[in-house]
Amino acid sequence: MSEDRNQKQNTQKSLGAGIGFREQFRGSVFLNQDKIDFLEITTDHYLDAKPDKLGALKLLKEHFPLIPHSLELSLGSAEGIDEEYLEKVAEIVEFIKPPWFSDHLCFTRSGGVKIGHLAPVPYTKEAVRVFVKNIAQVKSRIKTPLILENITYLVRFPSSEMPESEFIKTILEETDCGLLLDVTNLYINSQNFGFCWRKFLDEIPLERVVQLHFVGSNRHGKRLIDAHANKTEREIWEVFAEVCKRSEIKGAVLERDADFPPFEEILEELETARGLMKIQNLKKVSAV
Amino acid sequence: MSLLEQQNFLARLYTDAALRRAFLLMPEKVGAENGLNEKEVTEIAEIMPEELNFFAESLFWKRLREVEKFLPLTKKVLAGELTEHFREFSQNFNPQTVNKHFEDALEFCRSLSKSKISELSKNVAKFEQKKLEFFGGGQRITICKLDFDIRRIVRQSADSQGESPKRKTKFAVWLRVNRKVKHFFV
Repeated sequence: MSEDRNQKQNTQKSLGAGIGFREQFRGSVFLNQDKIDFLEITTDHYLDAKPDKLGALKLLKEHFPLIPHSLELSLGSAEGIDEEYLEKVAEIVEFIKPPWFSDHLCFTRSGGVKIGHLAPVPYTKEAVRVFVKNIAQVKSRIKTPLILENITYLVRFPSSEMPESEFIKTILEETDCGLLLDVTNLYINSQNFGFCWRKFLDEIPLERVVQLHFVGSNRHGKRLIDAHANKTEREIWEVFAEVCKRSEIKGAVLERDADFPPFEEILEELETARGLMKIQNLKKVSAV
Repeated sequence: MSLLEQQNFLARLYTDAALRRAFLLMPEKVGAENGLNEKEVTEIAEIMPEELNFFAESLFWKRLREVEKFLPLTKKVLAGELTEHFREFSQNFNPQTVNKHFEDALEFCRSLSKSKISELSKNVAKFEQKKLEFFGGGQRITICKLDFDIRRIVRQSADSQGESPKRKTKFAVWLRVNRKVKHFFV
């Protein structure tokens, strides 16, 4: 990361603990504004939006710091970036003026087929080159810092030339991007494919972690999946706490998309996250 | 194999159940039919079939769950049949717009009008299709002719149970007046 950007991200004030905004939460977020530090909005929900929807976004912007999170930049697509989609994302980012925005380390379309979700790429040098090229194009259009999220994967490619941690590290360093570390995705992958998440943390550039995602996992047969439909379990809080100890994160977002609990449970989770993030601040104070 | 070719083929494998089944059964033959050479076939065939199928199924279920959010009444009347019909539909339609779930739901409703489902279910799907068209398209007025009096289904929660609605011609109307939406049956 260049010194300027690094400095900018490190000096950026922490946004605290927020939630991924869903329409179901609309009433509750306004009623509990003092307990929610910021909102992450799914950019895709506002692309090609009608005036009333954009009005709703403006209202959110007036009451909360917002972070845009997009789903379909498809940064790992070898066929390149969809310029029309990029332009629409750029408009939303420019409207919100956030400290950063995010998308995923994956591909979501190829050859005219939209896969419908985040698909992994093989961890190869060619795939790194594709990410670097696509991210450069995004950065040339959107000047706001882009941070990249690790995904859960259900397929592995024997043709991979390096482990996921090295793949992520290489892309972050070559693109000078920050990391949106989804601690749930990391935990799920570690359980499904039998690796140690602590070792994974040792291998990635933790100084580049800007934001966290967290939520509970769901069991489906012998696998864990990221259905965003469960309360964060103890094991995932453990990963969260470990990351807080090791890096200076600027925000954490609870991503709940289904089986919505009473809003009090969401607020409790934010409080837990805030408490763990304080460890990080205490560490800094004791270092002084 | 270039990443581009691999991704093109993988995207189809993930979303096309027939191609996936055929490839897992006869990778060399199906690979060759799709322009892959021996090395390329081997690279993709090395992916564990169980992982490939699990991922493809997870994509299907995610897609269905999103569509269900737009169609609570259709979900209710079709009940267990919904999955089977959506599975068939999903093999022939790939949404392309940024509002992919909305597009998926709308097109699924349209496809149900030609499916082998009850007339009542067709009416409910048609009702939700027109509703989506009204809210998605920004029309001033939308009128939907129905062969059943589905008001009870509409007004009760999507989870409630009760007697089947009677066959009776009804018109569902959505109207925009001074930025407010009015909805009623006549």
